[in-house]
Amino acid sequence: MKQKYSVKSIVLKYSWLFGAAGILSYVLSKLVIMGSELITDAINAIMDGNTIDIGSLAYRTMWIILVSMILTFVKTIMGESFSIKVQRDCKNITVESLEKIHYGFFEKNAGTVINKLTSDISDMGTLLSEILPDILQYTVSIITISVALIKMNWLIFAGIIVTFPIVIFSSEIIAKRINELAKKRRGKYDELADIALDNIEGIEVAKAYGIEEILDRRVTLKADEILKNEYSRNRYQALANGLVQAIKWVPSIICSLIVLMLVLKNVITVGELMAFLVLFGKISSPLSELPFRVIDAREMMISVKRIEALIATPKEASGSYTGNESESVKNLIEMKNVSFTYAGDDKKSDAGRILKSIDISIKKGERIAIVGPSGAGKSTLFKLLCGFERVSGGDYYLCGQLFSAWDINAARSLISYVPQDSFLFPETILENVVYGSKDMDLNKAEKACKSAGIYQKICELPDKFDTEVGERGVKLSGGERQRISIARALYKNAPLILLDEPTSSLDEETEKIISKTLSESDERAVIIIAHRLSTIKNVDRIYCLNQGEIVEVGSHEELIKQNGLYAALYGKEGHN
Amino acid sequence: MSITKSLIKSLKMMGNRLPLYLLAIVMMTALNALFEVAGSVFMKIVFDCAGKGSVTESKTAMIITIVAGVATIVLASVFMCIYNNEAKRMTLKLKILVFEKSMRFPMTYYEKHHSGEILSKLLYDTDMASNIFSARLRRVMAPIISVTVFAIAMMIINPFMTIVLIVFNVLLFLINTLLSKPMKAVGKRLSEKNMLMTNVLSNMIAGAAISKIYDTNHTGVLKYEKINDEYTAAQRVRMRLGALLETLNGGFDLLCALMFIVIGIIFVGQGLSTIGEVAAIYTLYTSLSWKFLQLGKNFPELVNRIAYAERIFDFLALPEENKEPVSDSGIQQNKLKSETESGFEQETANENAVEYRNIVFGYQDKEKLFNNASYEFPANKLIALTGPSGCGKTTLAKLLLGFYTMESGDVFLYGKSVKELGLSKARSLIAYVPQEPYMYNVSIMDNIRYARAGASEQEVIEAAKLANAHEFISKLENGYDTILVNRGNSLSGGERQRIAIARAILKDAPIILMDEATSALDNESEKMVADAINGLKSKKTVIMIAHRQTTIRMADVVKAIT
Repeated sequence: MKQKYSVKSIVLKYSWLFGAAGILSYVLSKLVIMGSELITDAINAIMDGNTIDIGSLAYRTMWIILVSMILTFVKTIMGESFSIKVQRDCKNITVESLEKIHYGFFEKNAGTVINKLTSDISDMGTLLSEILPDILQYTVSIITISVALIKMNWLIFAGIIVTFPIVIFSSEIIAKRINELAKKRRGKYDELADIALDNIEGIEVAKAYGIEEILDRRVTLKADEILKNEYSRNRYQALANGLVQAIKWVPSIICSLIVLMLVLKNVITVGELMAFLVLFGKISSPLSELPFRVIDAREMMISVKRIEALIATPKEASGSYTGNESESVKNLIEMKNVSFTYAGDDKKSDAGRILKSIDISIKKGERIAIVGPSGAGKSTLFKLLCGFERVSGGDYYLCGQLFSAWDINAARSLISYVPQDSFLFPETILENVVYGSKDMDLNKAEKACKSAGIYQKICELPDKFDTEVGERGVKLSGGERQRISIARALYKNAPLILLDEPTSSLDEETEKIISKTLSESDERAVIIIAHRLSTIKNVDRIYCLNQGEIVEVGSHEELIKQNGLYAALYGKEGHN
Repeated sequence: MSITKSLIKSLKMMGNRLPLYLLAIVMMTALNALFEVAGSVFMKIVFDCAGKGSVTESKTAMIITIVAGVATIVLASVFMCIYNNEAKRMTLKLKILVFEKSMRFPMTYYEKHHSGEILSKLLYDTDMASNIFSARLRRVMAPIISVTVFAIAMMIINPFMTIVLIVFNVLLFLINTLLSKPMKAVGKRLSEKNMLMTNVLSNMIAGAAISKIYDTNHTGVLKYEKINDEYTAAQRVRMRLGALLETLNGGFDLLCALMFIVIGIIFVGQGLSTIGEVAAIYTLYTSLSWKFLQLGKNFPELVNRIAYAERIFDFLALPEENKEPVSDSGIQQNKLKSETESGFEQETANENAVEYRNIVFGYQDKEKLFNNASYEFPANKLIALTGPSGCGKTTLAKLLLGFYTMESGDVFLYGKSVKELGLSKARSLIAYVPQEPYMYNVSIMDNIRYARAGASEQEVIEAAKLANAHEFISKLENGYDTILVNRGNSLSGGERQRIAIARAILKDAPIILMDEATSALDNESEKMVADAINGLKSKKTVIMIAHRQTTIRMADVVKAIT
């Protein structure tokens, strides 16, 4: 894995680009000032009645323009390069951290942090590529031009510094008031939509009673109400708009009057008046935009903070043992006196324990079923086997090695997992089957699909293995999805298959496939969480769980003979 | 349909309001531009004063300019208000049209489409379409109007300088247009890559368990990083184009500004222009070049919204349910009827309230439910329809209401064909109580009163009493004024049923058609409903789709549907 980064360290790494862009912005502002000085001198010369050398003026002007064009190009490239590089690296570390985050985090935060991730990333992009460069440029030009204006005469600068904040604050207040009104309005539109929905949903009554016109009136009445509301809002908005425009004119009037006064008192020249006009134009929009950019930046920093928090989330523990091919171990899986409690729960008390004193050993090629009433701890046991959760007590050995010593990815490469909800990615069937493997072996995928009893169905689809599944693709039945999920497990060809049977009813075909997977003899070990006890009659061993403990172990016949929990569950299913 | 045609069609929907709306757009934009002209005139005065070295002569001119500027703002605000009002009026008009239309399709439409689905799509389309009126059209028109106003003002101040500047701007505009195509292509590529990256991310999140077990080779991360590299490469292309554009724009801008001032200085030096004119044109020029770049930029958005308007037009053009008498088979059939059926009608008019004659009907590509079936229901009797579920009892009721079109055969009400009567008239003869009666999100009073517009409160209460509903309604905190939210969720199934019966009674139609609830009502409610039905016996023709033995026992006639 690559070296550890944080957003801050990435920004620092490329900060030289940002700094260079800043310096170039400064030089560019300086060039504008130089240009304005040229104009000042020329105008002063004319006003004094002197002739000026047009040729040399034009020559110098062209030079300023040429240099500033080149610098603008370089500056833009540097600023953008900064934002592009930071974006790329930040995205990469985000996805790298995401992959390694502890599984429990996904379960806990499925709806919150994670859902915002995509929008957070795009916010971060906007912040870097738009907001930050703007802030940089605005700040630099405000400062440079302000200095030039102060040099000209401090009163001009005073006029600007007093009038602009007033304009910004007052227009902000007015904008806020309008937003409040807009919120109310949105509520009214929702009411209108609700009425329309009510009308459509009750269509049977409407038709039978012939009251469409009466119901129309409900819509028009509400629309009239909205319209009245809109009219008053429009009046307010027009007023506010006019007010803001008028207020925005104030700085320009006041400042030009100040400058005019200074000219009349012979403190500054007419040429400087022209320079003021040029510089004022360059400073006024940055002045009014900067506060809003800062506000935007602050909002988007929240997104960056969330990404940072995600990057800083604890990663899954991982050892360094990566397995030994030649090694032949007796037990594929061995659990000795394993117990499990969720972190934070009281470990001492018996009640908090999800699993206690679990002893399981599974050899290569064995077929094992885990049964028990819901809440018995079957799924938690699977989570421990997959390393999604770690044992709180006791020892869990995988291929003779303590699980905690294993490199987590090496350990998982030994396991295939068919979840209860048969999750399929919104991609092609082939991509779903070969998911996670480095190369796509179509032959192997076809074989896996044949074994999973889904090959025929796939061949009937218009794009065969390239058919997209999910929202934009074909709709598959629950059983078909389940079988693709099984094909995925078979394709992986891991020595251990974990199969979480769906609780909902299975179609015949899927049930047959599951039974077949369980009865076919090969090297692979299969562990199934079974809900339909009819599928597991032929397994080698059944572990019956109740309240976190293994209460019965044995084959189907043995457990029926014991006439305990298993027999009771079996009876409940309607078998005799 | 061509875009211009669709746009004209959209605008025509505004009717006689259209001239006012267009005038408002032109005026508000022009006045806003004039406001900026006032600003530049003010600058001209300031500079002329500075040149002359005194203000005394120009004081009034300054004040007049400021007042004129404020006046343009005030007027612009007035027109803005008019514009917004008209735009909103049109938006709501469109919504009303669409909502009214959405209630006028044949029943089969509603069974094919989910109500929420219909509405959300409609809402989205209308919002997008009405955007034409509330923003898009104006945004296309505004730069044109502004540029015109600025150009005229500048021409008045000094024509020669203005022409030089406009030539510069046209060049700049051409360069921008030239670069906009590759920019757009890159933008598209970026959003595609971005979507791919989002997919990888959401897969990793949604399929966390699968990813952890199967993706031990980090293919997800590698894929993400590979697309990220491609994204970055596209960003680089955009960066270069953007930098070029910015350089050219900025450089041209500077070039124009400085060149212009140099020219201005020459003019002033030669006495062709005053320093004030130079200042005024300089300020106006900034606004002009900004608006110039906007020309045509907003046009694609308008085109996009017009596509939505076309969808709305298509929706509004969908065939509606025909509620008038069917007369397409012409005079011949009428003649036939008058000859053969008039006598028949007289004989049986009071005997059979409802008669299905040789009906053939089946749902799409399924087996026919009725193949040449005929049923007769005598008037003023309580008739129970029985039969196993799926045998078509409810379908029979819906055929009576004309919710579906039969392949052949006809339904007769008091001897008259429904086709001849027309759906409106036919439905007015029937009061229908569906299995799960819909309660509108209005008061109980209005829910019942919908059956007969203009019924007095007393009549509503009377009907509720007959339906055994009055007592429980009176016990509610707000009585008849209780607003039923969530399809009347707060009431029990039996209570909703009795309100629906009250609704049916108030309608005072000769036939009451009731689909009995299959789900269990509590004993009390069941008895109440049964009593209510018993009360109607012999006054009305009551057709019950019966599921309960008690109901069947109550009936005068039991018809088994097979």
